[in-house]
Amino acid sequence: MNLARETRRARWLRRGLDTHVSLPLFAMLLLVAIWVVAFHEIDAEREHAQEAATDSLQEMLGTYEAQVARSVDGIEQTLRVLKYAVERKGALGALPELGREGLLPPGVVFVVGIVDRNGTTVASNPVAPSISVADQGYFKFHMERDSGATYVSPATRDAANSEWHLHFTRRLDDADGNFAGIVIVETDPAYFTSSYERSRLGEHGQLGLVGTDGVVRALRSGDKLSFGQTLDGPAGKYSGMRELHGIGLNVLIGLDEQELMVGFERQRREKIWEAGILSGVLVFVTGLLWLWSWQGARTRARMRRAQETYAAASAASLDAFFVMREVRDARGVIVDFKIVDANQRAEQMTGSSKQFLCSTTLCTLIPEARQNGMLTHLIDVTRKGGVHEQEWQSTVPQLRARWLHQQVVAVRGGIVAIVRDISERKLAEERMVHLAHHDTLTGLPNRSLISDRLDMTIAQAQRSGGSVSVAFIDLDGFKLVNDGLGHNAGDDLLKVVAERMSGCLRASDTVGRFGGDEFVLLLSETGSAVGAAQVIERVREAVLQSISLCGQEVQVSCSIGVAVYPHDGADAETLLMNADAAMYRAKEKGKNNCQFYTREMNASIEEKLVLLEGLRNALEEEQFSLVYQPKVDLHDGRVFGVEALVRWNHPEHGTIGPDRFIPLAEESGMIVALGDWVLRTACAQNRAWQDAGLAPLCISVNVSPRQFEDPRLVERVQQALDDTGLAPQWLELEVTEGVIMRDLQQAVAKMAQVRAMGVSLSIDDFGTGYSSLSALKSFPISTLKIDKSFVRDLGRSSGDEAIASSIIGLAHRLRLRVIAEGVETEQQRAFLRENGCDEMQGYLFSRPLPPLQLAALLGAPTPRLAVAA
Amino acid sequence: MPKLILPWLSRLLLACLLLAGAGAQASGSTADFVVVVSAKSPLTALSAEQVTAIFMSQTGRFPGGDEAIPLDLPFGSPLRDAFYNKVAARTPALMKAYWTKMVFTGRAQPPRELSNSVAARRMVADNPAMIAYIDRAALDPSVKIIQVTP
Repeated sequence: MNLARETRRARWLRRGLDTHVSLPLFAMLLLVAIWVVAFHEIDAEREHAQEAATDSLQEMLGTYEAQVARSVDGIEQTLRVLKYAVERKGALGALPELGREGLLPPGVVFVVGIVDRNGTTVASNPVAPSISVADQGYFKFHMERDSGATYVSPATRDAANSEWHLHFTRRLDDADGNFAGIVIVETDPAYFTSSYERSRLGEHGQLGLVGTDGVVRALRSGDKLSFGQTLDGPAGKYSGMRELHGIGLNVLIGLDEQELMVGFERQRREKIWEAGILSGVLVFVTGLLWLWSWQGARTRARMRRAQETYAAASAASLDAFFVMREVRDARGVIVDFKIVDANQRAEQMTGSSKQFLCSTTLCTLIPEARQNGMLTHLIDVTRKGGVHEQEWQSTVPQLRARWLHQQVVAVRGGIVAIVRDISERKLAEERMVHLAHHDTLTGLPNRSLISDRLDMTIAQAQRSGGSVSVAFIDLDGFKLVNDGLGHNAGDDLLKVVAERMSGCLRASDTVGRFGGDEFVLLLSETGSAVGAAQVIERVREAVLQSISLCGQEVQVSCSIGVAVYPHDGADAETLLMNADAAMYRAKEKGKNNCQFYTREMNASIEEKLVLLEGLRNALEEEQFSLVYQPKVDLHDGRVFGVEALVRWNHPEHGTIGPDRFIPLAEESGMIVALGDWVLRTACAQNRAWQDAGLAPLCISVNVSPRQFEDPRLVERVQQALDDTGLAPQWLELEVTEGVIMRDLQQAVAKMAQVRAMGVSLSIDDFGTGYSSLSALKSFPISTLKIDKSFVRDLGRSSGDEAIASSIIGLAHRLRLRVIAEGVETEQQRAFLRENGCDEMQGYLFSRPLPPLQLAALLGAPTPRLAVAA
Repeated sequence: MPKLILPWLSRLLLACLLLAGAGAQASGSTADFVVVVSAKSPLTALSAEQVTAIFMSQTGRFPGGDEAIPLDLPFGSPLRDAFYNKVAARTPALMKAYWTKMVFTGRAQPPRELSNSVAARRMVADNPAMIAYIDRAALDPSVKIIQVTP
């Protein structure tokens, strides 16, 4: 509360001190002062003027009084002289006598006259006609009494003097003291007002003589002369009257107030004008200054607002702001930067308060700046100007960030540094780079990184003349684990394998995952004690160790193909391709082994490509044919069926066996069309034999995995039967264990459909896959076929004999018939017959035959020939 | 020399013209005055202004520094009016107003008035300080005419 009031007071004080507020106030005070002084001076002037007027009036009155007194005195003197001369020389002789003596008053101003006791003028100077003045007041006055004084009459005119004049008269006495007439001095009334001066009395002043009787003898105002009227005392403020003693006259001076005050009025007007002009100038100048200062104040306010906005914006910014001013030494070289402003983010980044930051310099805050180039960079920026951006990894403990992005802007006399903590971004970038180059599951380098590393290693080897081994590793049986135990188990397996592989490597080696169950090793021959071959062998053995997955012990092996730089290829692509080829060879060689690349491998691949090319047209060009291998009943030696086997009569390579082209057809997807063709051809052939009158045979057709997975399999089989008119009981489909085990449920359902059509089913190559024996019982099959690999060593390998006899026993338990394939010797047949095998096929009885030969064989009278033997 | 002669010649010519003019006027008017001083006076000529100044009591001395006492003829006489009209270029009324004021304020007294030209001549003849205007007819060798130049 107190604080608020204080700040309010401070604000008012500040506003009051602002020029644009204080200036008008000051100007107004000045204005008031100007007018107070002006009016004061006017008042003083008025007083002075009034005093001067009074003084002037008194002075004029005095002067006029003296003039009039002297004139009247002179006139009285003249009257006495006249009286004396008349009494001495008589009325007629007086004037000439006086004229001779030069004692007459000047005729131009005064007329003198002598009147006898009868009232007749007897003499005058200047000479005038004689008239009677007996009836005039002045004559009667003197005739009636001897006053002993001069009588002053009002202005009159008479026959002798046609002009208005005043009479000054005195009584003449004879020797006896009786009235003897009068002596007269006449003068113009204007005589007494001739001292009227316009310069002092103006146009409306008054100057004149007034009798004590109140009758005006002479009064002049401006040019106007008047007399005869009655006046009662002085009129107006500035007028005065004084009495002349002994003659009954008053002198009168009057001043016109307006005229008196003309000077003062003029001064007053001048003063008011001066004050007005001064005020105007003051107002104008103040206005200009005010406008100027107001604009300045507005600019300042705008700048303050901009600064506040900037401060608010910078405070809220995610970037740290440092405003720094140059610190120069005596020579003018920049040696440091003084921090003058910093925002909140800067406080956080440095862990120092703003007060501390603003009291320190860059090199005090970060002493390392002198060594690590920071100061040099900033000085460089001040010299070059502009904006400089850079990212750097902070090694300075004062800055709490690992990676920084800084923007330095040169401003006048310093710089502004905007620093952002980009550690998180950098971390994310690193993570992304890692992700792009590594496999997420195992954390091993991925294909692209391996390729890069390989390029790098090759380049090194090229320089040093060393060699590089590239090993392509593919896990054997991984698919089984994945399918049997689930993808999670498969992932776990891959992780364990990856770890084991990494554990086997030397420091200079690299292992990466190419995807799926493929791994690649890069092994450089560095002259180390352990050779690349040894490392590979260690890897193979490590993979072979059993692994516990989902509580189950699992063992996988791997097939390894190796290609060596520079012998097997000069670039990464070739090396990888050749290692891949070698790996395939290892697979073909029965897995769990390591193959080094040879040129033949490529040759076989090339051959493969040629075959694949031919395969596309083979079906259309009818290059395929079927041969039929008889199946013989072991008990009675009767041929009860045949297995249809496909041959490719290649126009260039001759007859090609299915082991060479079936995988290709499987890979390329042509197997479906080929299988369809085989099925139809076999059915048609069987029907043809039947039509030819041969005893009915059951014909077996192999169904490849891809064919079996075809959803239209049942439909196709039905179509083939319908088209050829073969009864279903004469057709048997042979399916391998692996095919069924892929998706047991679906496989069983499909087999049931086939079975329902009346077509028989048998399991081919039994014993090589991982058949679930529990599932076997639910299979709608009629026959098991013992794989020829077990048959081959019968009579020589007790193990194979045990397997064969076990299979036979098992089948019989499940009420299935058993057929052995690949029977080539009597010994084998004997064993099988002894162990209760039902049927056989093989070279011992007949190799696969074309239809005609087979028909001939069957048409022979002794088809049981072999049995007899 | 010509520089001196020329102003002198021009002044002579002017004086002759003035005299001729005065003569012409005298033939048509009764008031034919001449300005005179005593025959003993060294003075021969005065300008109208100098004469006016003396007669209006504006100065008490001749141009040479000698005392000057003017003499008037009676107020209202034709010769007096002619004199002032001619020399001072003032009417009688103006002259009266002038003297009224001078006398009243005590600054000056008008010249002494003599009854006629003869009396004036006599007065002048005896006193070299005096100057008067008189009727030409009253001239005699005791006085000499002062030439009044414009």
